Amino acid sequence: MLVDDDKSDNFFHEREIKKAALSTVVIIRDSAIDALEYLKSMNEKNDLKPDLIFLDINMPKMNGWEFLIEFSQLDRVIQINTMIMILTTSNNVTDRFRAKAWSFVSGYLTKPLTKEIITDIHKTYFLQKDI
Amino acid sequence: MTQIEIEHRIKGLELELRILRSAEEEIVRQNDALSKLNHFAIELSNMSYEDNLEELISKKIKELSGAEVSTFSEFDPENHITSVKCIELEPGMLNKVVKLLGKKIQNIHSPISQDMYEEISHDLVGWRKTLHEVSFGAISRPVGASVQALLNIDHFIGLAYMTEGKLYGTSVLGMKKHQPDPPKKILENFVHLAATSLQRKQIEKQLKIKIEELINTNKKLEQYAHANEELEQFAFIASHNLQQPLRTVSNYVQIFEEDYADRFDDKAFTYLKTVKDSVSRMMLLLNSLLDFSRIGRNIKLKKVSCKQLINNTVADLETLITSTQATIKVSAMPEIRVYESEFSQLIQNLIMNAIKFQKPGNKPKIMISSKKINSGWQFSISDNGIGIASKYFEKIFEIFQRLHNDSEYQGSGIGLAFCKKIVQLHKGIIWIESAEDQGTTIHFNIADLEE
Repeated sequence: MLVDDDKSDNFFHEREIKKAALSTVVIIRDSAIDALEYLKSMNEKNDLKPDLIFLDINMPKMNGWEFLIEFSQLDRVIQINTMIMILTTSNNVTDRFRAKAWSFVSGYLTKPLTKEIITDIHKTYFLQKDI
Repeated sequence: MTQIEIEHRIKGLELELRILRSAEEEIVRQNDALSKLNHFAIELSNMSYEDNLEELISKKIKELSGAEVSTFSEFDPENHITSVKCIELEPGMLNKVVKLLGKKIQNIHSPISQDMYEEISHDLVGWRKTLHEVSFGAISRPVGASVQALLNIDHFIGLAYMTEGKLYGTSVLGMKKHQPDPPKKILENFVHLAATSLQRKQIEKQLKIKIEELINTNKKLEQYAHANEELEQFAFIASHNLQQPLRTVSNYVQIFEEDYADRFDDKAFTYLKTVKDSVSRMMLLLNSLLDFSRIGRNIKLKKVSCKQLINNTVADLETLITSTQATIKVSAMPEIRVYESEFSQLIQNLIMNAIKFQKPGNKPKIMISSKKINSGWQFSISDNGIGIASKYFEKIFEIFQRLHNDSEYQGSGIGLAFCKKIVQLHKGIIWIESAEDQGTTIHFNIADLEE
């Protein structure tokens, strides 16, 4: 799942993900609020449950940090089954530290996401699973 | 006892009585003067330097001495001139005196020669003088004599307010005929009191000026620091925000290449490559600018072994060092408190510069040394590179200044500006020693920094 207000980034990142793993379903939400809405209602609607969320930090209305706070209030099952990686422009040390504070955040990446990075993530975390 | 003997005795007693009376009068006079002196001392101690001290001095000395006229002149130590500031004299008389002098009292300036200065310092209270003498020659003998006659003055007394070898001003007292002179001791005490007050006033004035100067400098520094902060903030936000659209350009160029490769001809690929090169160059610039504006944010001093730190930095540059066959010698290094990551970035930048600016095919030889200086340490990094002409010594430390185009030596033009900022962060200075084709040595100081 891609959560980013920049549509062209979402478009490009989806392409890179598809290049690395064609069969992946990429859910795209261009606001943190919409993404949160999706996560909250996916059980009722029988929607696909994302294994991995790439989360942008700098977004209007609800930013990445605020999303993380909301995410921590969600059902434990979602928190356990969904991995979050920060995907942002900022290569700021402070932001990196801030991201580490959340147990369900497993990575901090700077844009752009590339096919190689996706392949790496796949190897490290999802070898048994299909993403 | 005979009649005559008795008369003699009475005369003797009368004489004794007269002597006693006059002695008593003298004591009363002295007591009176002493109490006036006391009051003066109290008034002085309550004065601030802004009050008119000069006027008070000339008023009080007239009161104390019973003089017909008194003045106060200020001494200008730079030009060695005293100038009359105030005079105590009945206004009608003053007008007549001014007519005789042919000029205003305030326009009487007396240059004091070195000899006069010496003379004054030996005798702060000068007795029985003429106006010509007490005005240090500023008033001529005949004019002085007519003023003296006009005011019915017997003689003048000159006072010099001097303490710790420094003259602050002078006074002139005009004593009437048959008016007893005030006791010298009292005048000396007065001079001492007045001189110390004048000295205090001057010190307070200088102090106030110094304080105002300091406040102004401080204000300027604050404004400067604030402007600097704003500028850094601007650089930070600008470079951060510019990254996003730039990355989109770069991403979409990639998409073009991937999706339309079969429809592009060679020309189109050349154009696309130019776009890509420009984008990556701009990314490099933006990232450098971002890093540059970040120096000094969230920093902490740490005591490190410079040897260890430099060795680590050298290890990080392993690939570059191997590929260029560079040799790096590191002499003895101290353990000092530095901003660790900034300091290692500084070393890394300087090593990379030493390797980069070489004639093609030349093997870089780099020497890093340190020495203790007064208030910290001096580090030097020298190389056998292309060197640099002295006219560029200042320019190279400015941001975005480059001496070579990209085809010769690639770079962002930010490296040495970066180094300068880091050195400044360590309260030091950075400078260069070099000549064309003679290699380059960069020196920088790091102050002893307290946490």
